[in-house]
Amino acid sequence: MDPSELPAEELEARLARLHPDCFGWARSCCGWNDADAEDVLQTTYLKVISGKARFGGRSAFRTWLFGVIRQTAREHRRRAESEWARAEKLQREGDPPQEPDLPDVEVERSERQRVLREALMRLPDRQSEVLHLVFYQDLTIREAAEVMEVSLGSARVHYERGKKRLRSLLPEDEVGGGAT
Amino acid sequence: MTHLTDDQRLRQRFLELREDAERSGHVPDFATMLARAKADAAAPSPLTVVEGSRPRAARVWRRRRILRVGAWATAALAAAVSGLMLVDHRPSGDAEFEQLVAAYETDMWQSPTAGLLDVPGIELTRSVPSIGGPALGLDPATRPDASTTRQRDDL
Repeated sequence: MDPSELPAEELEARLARLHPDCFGWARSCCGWNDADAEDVLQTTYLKVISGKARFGGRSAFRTWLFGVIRQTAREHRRRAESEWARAEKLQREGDPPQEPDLPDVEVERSERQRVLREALMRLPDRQSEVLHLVFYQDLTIREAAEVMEVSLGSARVHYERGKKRLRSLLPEDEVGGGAT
Repeated sequence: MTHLTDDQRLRQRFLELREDAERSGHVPDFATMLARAKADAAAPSPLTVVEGSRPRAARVWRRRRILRVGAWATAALAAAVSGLMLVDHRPSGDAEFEQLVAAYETDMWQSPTAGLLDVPGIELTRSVPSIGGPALGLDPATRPDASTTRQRDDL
């Protein structure tokens, strides 16, 4: 069967299986903004369903889909930047998000994740992307390189530099922070 | 602390991040998103232009635009051609010089000060005397005008 002509049911089943991973990747591509990530994922599904993005079978389905999400997130970001002033105004006017009451352990865990997210956001895009794909999505560096449309060597460099930088950004008691 | 340990810790941190995202229910419902995507794919976008379905106003506007662009292009072309013609018909310095040389070669040209050299007796410098020929100054054809001689005597 030509992989570019997946039956609709098969296509939907694959999308459903990968949906949580896709949302996690979309969040990472959108600076951990849930609303933006949902928009990006919605647009991605539209591209896939309407045939604008077509799976050619040259790589794994998940790798290809992550590539489409990444591209869509970039388009979304470019569009959002042109409306930056308006978005900023809306954000200022909006209510600050309410933090749910959590037990101490959860609060600590939540705080650790916030620190990690902020550290990732301070990394260059490519470094943040490769770390997310390898550590969060459990992809190999080669697969991450395919998603990011860079060479394997380049992905390795981004991976090593990203880890080093992330260690320096995280507190010393976590992940050997401040090392090197 | 080795880098391997660091990698393991990093992986653990990302795993926590992933587990929390899944547990907190942040992931939107797939069925809802898919249904919305299908609806969007089925409905034609308001910005989509289907070939052959362009409304009349749009056709008229396009025709006017073509005419306007065509008029400007024609005017610009006419101006360029006129400019080229003007430039080609202006006499150049080289052409004037060549005309002067041609006139000089056919003896048509005369220096503005040539009259100063036309003095009495100048013919003596332009002829060679010969035996048996009329003496210089006695040949009626070459003899200077009598009035001119008288004037010189008066001086």
